[in-house]
Amino acid sequence: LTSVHEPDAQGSSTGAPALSSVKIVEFAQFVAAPLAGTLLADLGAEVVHIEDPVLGDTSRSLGSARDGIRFGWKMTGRNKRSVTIDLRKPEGQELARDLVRWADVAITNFRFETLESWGLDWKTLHQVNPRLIMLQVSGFGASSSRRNEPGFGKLGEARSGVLSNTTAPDGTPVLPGFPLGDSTTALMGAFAVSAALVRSREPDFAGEWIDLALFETLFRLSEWQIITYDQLGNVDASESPALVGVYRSADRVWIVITSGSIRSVQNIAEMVGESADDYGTAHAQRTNKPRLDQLVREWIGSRDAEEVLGEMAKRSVVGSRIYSAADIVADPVYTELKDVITIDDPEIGPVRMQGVVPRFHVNPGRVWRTGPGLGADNQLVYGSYLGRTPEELEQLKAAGII
Amino acid sequence: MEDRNLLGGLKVLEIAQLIAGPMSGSFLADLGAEVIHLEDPKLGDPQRVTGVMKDGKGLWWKVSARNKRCVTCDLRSEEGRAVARRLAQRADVVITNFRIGTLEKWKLDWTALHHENPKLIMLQMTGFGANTTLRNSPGFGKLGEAMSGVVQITGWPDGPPVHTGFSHADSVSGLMGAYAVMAANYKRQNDPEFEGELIDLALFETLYRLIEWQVITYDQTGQVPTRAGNRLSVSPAAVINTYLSRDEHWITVTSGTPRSVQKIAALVGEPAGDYDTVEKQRARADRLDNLLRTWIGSVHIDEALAAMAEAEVVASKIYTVEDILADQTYAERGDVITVDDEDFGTVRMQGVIPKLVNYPGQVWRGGPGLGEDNELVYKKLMGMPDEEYDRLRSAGAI
Repeated sequence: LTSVHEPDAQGSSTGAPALSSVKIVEFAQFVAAPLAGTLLADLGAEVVHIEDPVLGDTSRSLGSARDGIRFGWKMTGRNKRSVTIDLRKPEGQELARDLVRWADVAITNFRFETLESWGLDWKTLHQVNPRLIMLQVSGFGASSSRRNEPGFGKLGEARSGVLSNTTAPDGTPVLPGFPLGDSTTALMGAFAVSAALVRSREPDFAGEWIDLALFETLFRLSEWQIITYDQLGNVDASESPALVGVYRSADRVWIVITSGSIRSVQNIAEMVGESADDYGTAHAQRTNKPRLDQLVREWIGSRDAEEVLGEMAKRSVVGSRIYSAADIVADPVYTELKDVITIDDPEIGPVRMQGVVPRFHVNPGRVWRTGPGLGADNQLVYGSYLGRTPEELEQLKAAGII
Repeated sequence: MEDRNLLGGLKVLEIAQLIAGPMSGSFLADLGAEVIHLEDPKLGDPQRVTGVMKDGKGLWWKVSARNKRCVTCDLRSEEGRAVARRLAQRADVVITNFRIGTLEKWKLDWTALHHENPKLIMLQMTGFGANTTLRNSPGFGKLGEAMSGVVQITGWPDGPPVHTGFSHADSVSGLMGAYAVMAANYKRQNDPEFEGELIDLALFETLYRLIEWQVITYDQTGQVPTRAGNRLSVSPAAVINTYLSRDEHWITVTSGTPRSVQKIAALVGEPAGDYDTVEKQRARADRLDNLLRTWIGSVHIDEALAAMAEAEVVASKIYTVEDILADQTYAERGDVITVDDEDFGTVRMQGVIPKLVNYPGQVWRGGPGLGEDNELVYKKLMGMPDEEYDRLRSAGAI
């Protein structure tokens, strides 16, 4: 327990974070599974991330660099322990199983057949550790005939139905600008693991296998999709009388405006000089919607953002500037919430990144380190946690196992 | 199969409406928690009439309130608030998304409820967080999305920013809330010193957290991430885009590795030598994108997908709901279930996700009617005497 809680970048905690006694081992790459581990680590779990001794996690070599150092890993690998294992070698697989014996939770997104050939599949690991909780993220799920096909977040987005509703004005589907399918899967995985932990201290707990396919989370989140089609067939969900749109100000700032109730649409109408009476019913709003949309476009387009946002606030029109990273860092609410933290990184010095979300007031999570160097925790994990001697470690290293 | 409710025994009270707060409860209910959803006796939760309606009934409600107990309680009356406080006293978890000022006025805020129930976990969803200058401003999902940075980076560089096609901020916040509650609950169960937990979640924060590289990239390079269309700004050589087949179905292609780019080049008849290095691939990325668009536009979707599968190019049809219902994998997973419903006979909706093998969760009812569980909850679970129940009913407090 003590090893996890190293000095805190945010200060101010009153006790150990919620998941402090939870031990997790991760043999996983790319966003969908490792991000689940990071979310759990943010709330105090001890997460040991296994990487190839030579190549390391692929995420280490992705993204932009400064002074030759890629910094994405500093964020995605934060709060974790990094150890190296060559999982292609039988001795490496044995070492990984030792870590599974030590752990409460295993997180993986390797293919089923790969895990089976390595003896790191659910069946084997559940024998190794009968109380194991295993989160297995895959493209198509364990019970699918496509179980061994590789999984890709973008395909998950396409399969979920979300993409067919995310379109540019000309109807072309737009890919969300971040790994939406992967990240929401990770969040679902973190929820599932923490839910399974509810039973984990019961004497007869028999372990849990969480089988999560990459398309399922977005599918689950689009709650109305199936039932609407089931009951009414293809209906145009955009037939809502309310106005929701994105508009650009004279000084080229994008602003979103949204509404729902009759009154909220009337507020928009009055702002652009229309009579509220022309928008007093759902029917009238639907009829006049194209006109209102055009008027709002012109009204916002002929004013600077400050004036537009000021006027909207005055008239209780709901909307916002569309924030960029620069807006976020400059925003008072983000600042008040301390959502942007600064943490020292041994390679690049002070670096800003997201603080812990969700925020716990009594026992908050914390960011105690940035993404560690490859194998930075071999000594601690293999020595202290697994009880391997220095000689054994030397041998494993010489043989290229770690 | 006795006691296969993973969260059986966990008592959750929702003083919440619309999407983000109740969705957290929905995830907990799917895995077996007892979730009591409080509603105004006259109006009910506005979510009941949100979205597409059939025969005057909202369809979304059937899904969003599934597996819950619905009781009525007038929080504007002192007696109603007293009932709500009693329910909060017996709860392990309270989920709320009312404004903080309103909760304080009603004495249903964290300080008041925590005082009476010291081991309480409270999930408080707001637009802007519990301690900010905007703490009492209402929250809206679209604003949360706009604030998180995600809208700014979705769309084409020369076009407008695009909102993702579902209640993006609300539902990922719902999921984050469910995760946070479960994490806090772990400590509640295992730490005898547990003193309750306030989870303070603003609507923009979850998406902000999930876009991992956004802040650090800006911090380290000073570059403001912006829209890159259907390209990945991090890998300019990759073939990533959406394409329309001759029979007008959209396909997404996402092939990032140099080898798969070569395969796409071969597929559209380009000379292999033009794509044998990443540099060449980058230089010809636009050309290849156009050739692929032309080729896919000239063939039937089945032919396009078969040829790409053959060439190991990563691609998928962009599913509509009809595709989902026809899909073999969804069927094999049991992801679409049929639930009996009083209003509509049977309705199809999503099954329980995530799938847990030993404690699989279940959907035992669709969204119930207003006040449908009043008697059960007030009399049986809370132990309210008949006379008091009748009196509160006739006073309109519940």
